[in-house]
Amino acid sequence: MPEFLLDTVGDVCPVPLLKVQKEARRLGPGDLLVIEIGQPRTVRNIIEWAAKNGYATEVSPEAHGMWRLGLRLGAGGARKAGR
Amino acid sequence: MGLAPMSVFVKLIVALIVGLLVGFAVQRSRFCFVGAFQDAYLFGLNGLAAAAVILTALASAGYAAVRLAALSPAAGGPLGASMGNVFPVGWHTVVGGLLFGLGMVLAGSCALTTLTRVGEGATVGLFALGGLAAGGFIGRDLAGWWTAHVGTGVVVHLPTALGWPLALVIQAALLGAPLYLLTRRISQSRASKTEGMDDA
Repeated sequence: MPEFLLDTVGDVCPVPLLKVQKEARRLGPGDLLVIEIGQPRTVRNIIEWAAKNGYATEVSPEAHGMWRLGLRLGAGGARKAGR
Repeated sequence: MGLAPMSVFVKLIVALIVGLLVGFAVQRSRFCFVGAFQDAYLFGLNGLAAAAVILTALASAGYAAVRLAALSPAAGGPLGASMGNVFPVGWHTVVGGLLFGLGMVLAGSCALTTLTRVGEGATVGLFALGGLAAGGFIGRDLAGWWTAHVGTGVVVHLPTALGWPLALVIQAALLGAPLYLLTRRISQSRASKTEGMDDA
């Protein structure tokens, strides 16, 4: 069960989710992608995207204005969400 | 209507309070005009785009209310004689929109969210804020020349051309159609999420 780390601190708006989208494809069942985030907007964006695309998320605040978000494949596997 | 003229001090206090309330709402709701278009286009997340359409609808209703109140015979003006600050539309509208959009994408935020992001402590936002302030000062001095020489063309104002009732119906239809499409997608994705849960 490999664990991947993705640092998005300092990236502007669409970049963090674009990176997450790319990295999430590598996740197999049980793998964990840990994302470091420095913007509240990004946290909610990723949670919304994950819920729509079949991923499970878990957020923990790291420090003031810093979050860690764990992303796993959901029970049903990744969903190919159409636009 | 004759609102009593406010002193500068009262105006500043009112502006400060309204500014704080707007800033709080924007920060907490993560509302973002750039995000509204980006999230819908890049990721198929339509929540913010729907919110932007609702916001435009509310602003349209507010605009109509203010214009109708200001133009009513009671306020001393013939109904429909003036349209307020409506500028001509032309090629310059398209060029300006593209430049504005490019700036927003490079900064990762619009004017509104640049301010909230600086407030959140994002140092990248300081560059955008500097550019915003510089552009604002330059624009203030050049606006007169610009509107006289470049920003010429046809003024499109539906209430003047068609009357208020028809104009409001058309505005509602123009906003209602995209809102229906955006929210239909949201409810579809909610539905498929619940299906997925049943399978598990």
